[in-house]
Amino acid sequence: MHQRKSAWIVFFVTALCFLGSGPAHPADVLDFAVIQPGQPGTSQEAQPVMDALAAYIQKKMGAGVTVKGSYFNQLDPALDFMHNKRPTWGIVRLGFYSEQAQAFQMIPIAATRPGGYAKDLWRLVVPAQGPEDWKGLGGKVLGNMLFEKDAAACLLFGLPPDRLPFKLEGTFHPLRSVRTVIQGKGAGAVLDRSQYEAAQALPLAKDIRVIHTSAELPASPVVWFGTPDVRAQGLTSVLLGMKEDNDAHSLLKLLQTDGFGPADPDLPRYTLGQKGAACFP
Amino acid sequence: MSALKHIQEGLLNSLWRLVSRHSGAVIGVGLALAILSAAASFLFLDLNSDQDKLVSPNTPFHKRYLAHLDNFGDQEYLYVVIQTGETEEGKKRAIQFAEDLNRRLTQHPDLIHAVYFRISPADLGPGALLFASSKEAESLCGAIRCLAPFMDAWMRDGSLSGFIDMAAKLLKGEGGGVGEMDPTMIDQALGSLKGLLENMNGILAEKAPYRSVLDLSQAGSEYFFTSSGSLLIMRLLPAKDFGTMDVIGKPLATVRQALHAAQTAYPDVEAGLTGRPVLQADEMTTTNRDMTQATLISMILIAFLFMLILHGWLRPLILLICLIMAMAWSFGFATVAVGQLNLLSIVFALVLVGIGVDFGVHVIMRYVEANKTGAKADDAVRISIFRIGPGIILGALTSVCAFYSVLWSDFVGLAELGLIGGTGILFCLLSMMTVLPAMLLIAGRRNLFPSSAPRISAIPSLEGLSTRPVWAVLILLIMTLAGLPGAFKVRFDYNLLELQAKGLESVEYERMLIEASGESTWYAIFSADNLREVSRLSRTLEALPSVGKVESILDFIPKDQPGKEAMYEKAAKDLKPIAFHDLPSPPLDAERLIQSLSRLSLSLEGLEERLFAAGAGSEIALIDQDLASIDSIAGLLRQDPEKAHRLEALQTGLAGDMERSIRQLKIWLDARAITPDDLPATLRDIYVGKNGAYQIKVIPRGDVWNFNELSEFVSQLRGVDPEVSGVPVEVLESALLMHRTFLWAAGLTVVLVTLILWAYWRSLAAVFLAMLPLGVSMLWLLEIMGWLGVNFNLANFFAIPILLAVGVDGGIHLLTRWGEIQYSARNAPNKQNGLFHTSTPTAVALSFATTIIGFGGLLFAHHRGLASLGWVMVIGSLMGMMACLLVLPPALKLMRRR
Repeated sequence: MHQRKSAWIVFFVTALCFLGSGPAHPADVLDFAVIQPGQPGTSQEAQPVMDALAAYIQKKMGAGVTVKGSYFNQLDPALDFMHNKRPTWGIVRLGFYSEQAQAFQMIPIAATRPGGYAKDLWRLVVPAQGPEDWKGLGGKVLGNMLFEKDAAACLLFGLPPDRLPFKLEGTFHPLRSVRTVIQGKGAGAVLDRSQYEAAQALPLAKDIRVIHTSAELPASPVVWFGTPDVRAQGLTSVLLGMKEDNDAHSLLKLLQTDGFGPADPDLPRYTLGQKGAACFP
Repeated sequence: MSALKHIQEGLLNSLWRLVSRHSGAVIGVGLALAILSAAASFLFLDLNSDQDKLVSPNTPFHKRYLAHLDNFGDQEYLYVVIQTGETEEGKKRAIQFAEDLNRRLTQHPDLIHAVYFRISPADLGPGALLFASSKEAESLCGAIRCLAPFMDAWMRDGSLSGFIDMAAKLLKGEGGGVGEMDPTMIDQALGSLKGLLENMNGILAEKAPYRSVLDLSQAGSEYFFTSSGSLLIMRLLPAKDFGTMDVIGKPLATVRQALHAAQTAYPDVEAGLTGRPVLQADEMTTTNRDMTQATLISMILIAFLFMLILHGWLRPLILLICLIMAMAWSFGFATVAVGQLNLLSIVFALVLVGIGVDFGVHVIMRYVEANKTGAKADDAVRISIFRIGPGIILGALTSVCAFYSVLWSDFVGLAELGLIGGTGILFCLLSMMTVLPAMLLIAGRRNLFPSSAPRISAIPSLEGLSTRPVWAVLILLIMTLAGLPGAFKVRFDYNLLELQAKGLESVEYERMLIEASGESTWYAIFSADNLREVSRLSRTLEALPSVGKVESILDFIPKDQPGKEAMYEKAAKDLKPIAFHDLPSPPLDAERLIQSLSRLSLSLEGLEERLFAAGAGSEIALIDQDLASIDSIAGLLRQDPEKAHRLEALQTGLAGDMERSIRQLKIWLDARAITPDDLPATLRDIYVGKNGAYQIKVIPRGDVWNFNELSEFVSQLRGVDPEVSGVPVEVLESALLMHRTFLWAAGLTVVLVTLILWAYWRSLAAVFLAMLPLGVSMLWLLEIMGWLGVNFNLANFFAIPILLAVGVDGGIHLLTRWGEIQYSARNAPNKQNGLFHTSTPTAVALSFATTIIGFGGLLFAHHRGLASLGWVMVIGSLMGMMACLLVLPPALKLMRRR
């Protein structure tokens, strides 16, 4: 975890599947989108990494394939893009998957491994002198995964957001949110596993306390939009082979994932909007 | 009577006439010669501690090695081994430690000629960037593409606030910014930024002057870590002085001092020194210390023993004076005959103390015995010369054989020791047969000796042990046979590291280097005429199982040069627009600086957020320090805006640094494919010889201190080229040569001694009896060594010729005295005729006792080789004494019955 880490973002990549196992068609398009609402930085900053990933996938899939990558860390432009220029595959945040899986027919084909972990953990932290129980918390709780409020409330507490005693608020500044909480200007902050581990290496670790931890959650999935075809298989095998490929090491560092693994079988359970359920069944 | 005995009788008569008539002159001449010899040796006798001079330069393996040394120069390094703990932080600390040590060592260029521990771009010359991997080159070109417009803009602006704005924009990701850089380059960028901000803070607070933060020449230095990454190795080339015993004494002391200072500065870093010269120097130091300690202990004990046996102080003093005189003559002989002492021949004086003093012991003991029976001084000396003389001369001749038998050896060191040691024994004989009797005469005539006679001149109580000779011989035979299996357990251990003292830093670090990296400080050398041959040999050698690493000049010729050239050509075009004419240096404005710092602060905070989301805590801590520096700088500027002028030197320096860096970068990017001729002299000198041949260094994989692994390594290399050379070949061949020489010398000595004894006595029985104690004692020695688990090695094997010399002496003296007793018994039948009623067994025992005590001090040596020499000498001498006193008397009685 303490290896060199680049300046920006955890980007995660997806795979597209084309029909058949033979060489790709000249017209094959494997465009992708990385959708990470709340991730610090801008789309412009992330674009070189998207281009690098696109070039890598194109090289591995064959000359007849064209690949273009787009990056979104804001929800509305991401939804616009999905409605108007839906790509073939994508890497999406868990909350986005939960809320939009049905709408965009997302089928998991692989999973990221941030820090080498297959599962994520979300933790609610408060000032060291804060309340013992989240039920006693009031005001604003901040976190960069809280832009998808319905999903976040269900993933973290198993309740819809309107039944929580505090308000969830998305932020692009997860570190600042922790400092805000320590200064008493926020009720609490939600940190994912990477953020929590980073916080532990900082002096502010002594000023915060965890009062609630989620169940183990799937890491950001790689999804296929629509019914996966044979191209999806090719893409999955390219992604799964990246860890062993020396040429991909730098790219994986930039993407902040320790390679890719198979799709998490638990993932379909985490989709909202199922009949008769306010949260997940 | 044989011709030899005629000569001997004539010689003894002449000797007696000389000594009795001209006692004073004999002493005077002896003394004058001693003074002359001492003065000559002091003025002209050199010391040569060069180990390469111990073996004949005509020996094929050594001839090749010397030719390599001549062609490629001395490359025998000291190795500083720095432990990293195999962590990134540990590696950083090891690098800091190495840099610190390097700074200290480069202050002594006269003692430390070179320090190799990293290669910086500056070392590699204009083609430095061609050494980067293709991926690194790609990453660098990406960074140049991104940075070039910013640098161009700043070179027109030249202001410090402009520079800070540029950093802020880059960190924010504008124009590609950090997005196109490899994460490792971002670390470097953050490091440089940290240096700049700390420098600004220090200047404003008047705590530090301006220092360069953009030293491109040191960027991207590659440090010499072992393949496992657990150790950082520094190679130091010391100045050598072969006129001193320790050869690298001064450089070694300097390195140890610097190492100590660096360890004080970095207490968490563990480091130590090793390498063949250090091991040799440490060996010399421990050996000297051990020898001094052993000499002191043995001198005190021997003085006490002599005073006890020889009664009083005068007789021991006379003996000592005669010995010193003989030693002085020997030094004189060494000056005239050889002109120098080597690492082996320097110990000849100790050998003389061990063997030469025995002649005097016999003379004095016989003198005492005669004196005790009422003989006057003249009679006692005459008896001593005529009765003891033959035995002493014979004993000396046999001892000389042991030393002269190595004269024709290719092991020059040993041959010189044989010549000086053997001749020294003859000088001891001369001194003990001329000066000693003369002194005894003068002292006896003047009644200077104590009036009471010594009490322990004979040991009659031992006579009883041989009253039943058959039983005595049978019991000893059974005991010998019972112990016989032990003799077959003795092996020859060639491991030189096992001879060294335990716990010695150089030994421990050599072991660590072998265990941690599977590498050694030894390497074999191949020579090739052209690069194609270098490439072919390197590939073949790398495939050998016993080879760990192959180093050649090809390691410094970059791969895929055309591809990288093309990439750099493109990157050079990105840098081309940057012009250097009249760098502006605008006035510093505090307000503008504060605004720039504020923008940088925002960029850093943004970066922090991104890193936090990615889980990078340690980098955030680094940025927090930068943010704290920015707050402090802004605070100081707000407090007093005039302070901004203090940063003028920094602004100018920064512009200069930037210009130099860009110029350097342009040179590197323009470089064309590298050939060996383009490499810097420091590298070329290592791998290209004076005759243009290329050197290939082959580092073994296993522990070549282990003789089997060493043999296997050399054998595999010889399969590639029989002409292979280098330290492993030298050590292997020298050890084998030494082993062969000792075995050959031992065999030749036995043959020569047998011939001499036969020529003297013309009786096989007499020869057998004289040699019996030696044969039995050597067998007992082997048996005991086997049971105790003591093996022969390259240090204790040296004991064999000494034990041969001492062992034969005892037999000769006892046999001569036995003959004398038999003669007396025939002429005076009533006289008590037991061997143990005479002083000879006491003298023989005393001779062995001095050897046991002399070498017994070595038992406590830290140097394990010396300690093992002590053990073999003590056990061997004790067995020699026992064989003389227990085996020979009953054997003589049995032979008499026949």
